[in-house]
Amino acid sequence: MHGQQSAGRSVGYPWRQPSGWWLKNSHYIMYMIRELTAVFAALWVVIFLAQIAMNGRNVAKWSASLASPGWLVFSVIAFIFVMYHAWTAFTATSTLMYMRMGKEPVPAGTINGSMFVAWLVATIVIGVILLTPIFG
Amino acid sequence: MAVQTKTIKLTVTRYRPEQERAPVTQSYDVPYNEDWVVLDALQWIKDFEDGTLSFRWSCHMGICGSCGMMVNGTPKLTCAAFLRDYYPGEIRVEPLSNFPIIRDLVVNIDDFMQKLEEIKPYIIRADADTAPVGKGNEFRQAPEQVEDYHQFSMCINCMLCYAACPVYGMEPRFLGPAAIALAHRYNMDSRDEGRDQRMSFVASSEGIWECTFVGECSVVCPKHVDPAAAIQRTKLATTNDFFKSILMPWGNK
Repeated sequence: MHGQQSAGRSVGYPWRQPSGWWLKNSHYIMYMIRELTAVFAALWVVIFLAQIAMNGRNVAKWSASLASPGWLVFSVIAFIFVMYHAWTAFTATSTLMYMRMGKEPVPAGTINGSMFVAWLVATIVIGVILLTPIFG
Repeated sequence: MAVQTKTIKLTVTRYRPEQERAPVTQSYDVPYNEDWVVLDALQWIKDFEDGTLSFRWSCHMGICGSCGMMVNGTPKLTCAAFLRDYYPGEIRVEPLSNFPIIRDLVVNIDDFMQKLEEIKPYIIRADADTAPVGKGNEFRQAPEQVEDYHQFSMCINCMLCYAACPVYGMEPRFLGPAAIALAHRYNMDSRDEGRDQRMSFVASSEGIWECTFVGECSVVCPKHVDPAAAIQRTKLATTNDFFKSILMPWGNK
């Protein structure tokens, strides 16, 4: 659709993006870290699903694979990264959402705070659902 | 008795296509004056050292958006970058990143101008030719309606946001921060009826969906516009439109 743009860029010494562009300042580095944390979340889910596919019919074998030190260490690392990624997403919510309450815009702190409250409530609800069969 | 004059070193990108195959750098010792900005130093070089140095500028007061350059690697309006913030260190002045260089510090902005034209940065009315004009027929707005788009209307097209955007650096077909922010500005204007015309460009894969929310465009904006917010809000609005069109195909957006 922007077919004319390449013609517009053809005059002059061309720009070439250096491969180390993201090391140029701290914002770019934090952006790359934020994106990288999502890779860990995806990887954790893929491995978890693969474990179910391979060992799901054999509960003892599946339990053993979940209890392996390598998996536990990876899960802890992935958990930390997922927490960080969630934090970056929730604190960006006020950038994403613009709402007015009557004549006044809803403050950024209220929008972001509501995300954390919803997160907490969802965690409690899921926790109760998962733990009730264990603890009665 | 000779007066000891403080100086500051400016290392400036030079590119003279008739004599260089690629950009080079050239250093100048410029008199240091704490009231001077980088643009003053460039002007001093042009006046007293080398009249061939080329750069864009116009208003010298942060309004026109012409004098954007990379100052020590950061996109800045050189009329607002004071020497005192860098002294006694050196200052590296380069043309805006992500654009082809025409000469020295002058970049080719044709791509941006084309994109700006595409998003129709003006109020569009279906009744533009027939609406009565004159007193009593103004399109009135409440202060809160102005507030909805006001910050986005502060854009001066300086292109610092494009120079800060790594996505644009890698994918020049990306519509880019300022163009999308200006499209958002008019889409949010209660007087405007041109949203559908703009969205064919803005909501395309080379529009908002190319953005990965680096956010540096908003950091470098000299007018405190938040293009990253405009892009993310447009993503949200477009997603809402999509689901509404699925769930309520008979309704309006």
